Amino acid sequence: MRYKILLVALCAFIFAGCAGDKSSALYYWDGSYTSANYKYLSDEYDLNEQISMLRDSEQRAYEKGLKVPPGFYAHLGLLYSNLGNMPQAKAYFQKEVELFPESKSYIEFLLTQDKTTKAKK
Amino acid sequence: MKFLNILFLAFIALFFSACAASKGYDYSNFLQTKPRSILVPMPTNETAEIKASAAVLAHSLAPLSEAGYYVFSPALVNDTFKHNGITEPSEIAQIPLSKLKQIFNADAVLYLNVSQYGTSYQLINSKTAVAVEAKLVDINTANTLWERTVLAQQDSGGGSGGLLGILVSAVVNQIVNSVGDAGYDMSAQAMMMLYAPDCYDCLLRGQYSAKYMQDKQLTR
Repeated sequence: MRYKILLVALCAFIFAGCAGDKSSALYYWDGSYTSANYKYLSDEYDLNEQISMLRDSEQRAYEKGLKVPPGFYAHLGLLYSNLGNMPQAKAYFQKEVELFPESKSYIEFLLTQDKTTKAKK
Repeated sequence: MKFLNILFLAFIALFFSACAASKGYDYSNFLQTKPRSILVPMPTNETAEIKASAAVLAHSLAPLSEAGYYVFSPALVNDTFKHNGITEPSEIAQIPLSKLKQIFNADAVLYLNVSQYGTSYQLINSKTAVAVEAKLVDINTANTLWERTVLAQQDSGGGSGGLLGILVSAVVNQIVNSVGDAGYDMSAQAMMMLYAPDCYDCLLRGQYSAKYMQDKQLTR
């Protein structure tokens, strides 16, 4: 009986150790945000392919209860705006601001710039 | 007389303690600013590889974010510059910090320069190397907060003996590297090195990190 308690305690200890290791990652990384940026910045990409890749990644992050990295939602917003889907673009830009308030002024700058360029047209 | 002796000893002790403290990397500017958010524009590129800047920037994202910083979306940032007629990294480096602050409201700007990228082929060997110089600048004061240079490289050692075997392996390596983009993989390694924590001249962690202000080089 005593051994059993000891065994349980030992297991708990081991798993606590594991949990500690996992919590050291702040965000969910599966390589898709990194490769999306590499391809976008080197001008070799397909908008729809990037969107589906990143939305799959977003879903997996959600299932694992992890945050997507900084800039992730902003990148998705950019892809939708390139497709001309402004409602979706704005929704993702908004998500970026909610998750990371550091992006607030920049996103506001982009949205007002978008309005002024449309007004010029 | 005794009092003077003690005073003298105290001065010497003070002098040496100051010496010991100044031996560490100077984080005083950094600790004054404590940046939360970092803007990383497209790196300048001294190499012939067009994709070097994109690879180095893309591979900066994970280690820099995990260090606890908010990192602006590089694609969105680069398109913002493009829409304003700025396409070259060297032109971006010329933009006044006040202008960058106005648009991005970042706390700091990280300027990267790629000085080596990719695979060079010698007669019986090939070497893949990525070298990057990094300089983090305070967006308000233009003070340098942190600077570091990294070099990641790998030699393709010839396999089993005989000159022919070595020649064949060099050829195979060339093919593998050109398909698999060895520079891209090596830049991942280089960027892990660049932003690694807890060493003499390492980048201090940012405010999202659970170990914020507990960097080894600070607590030592």
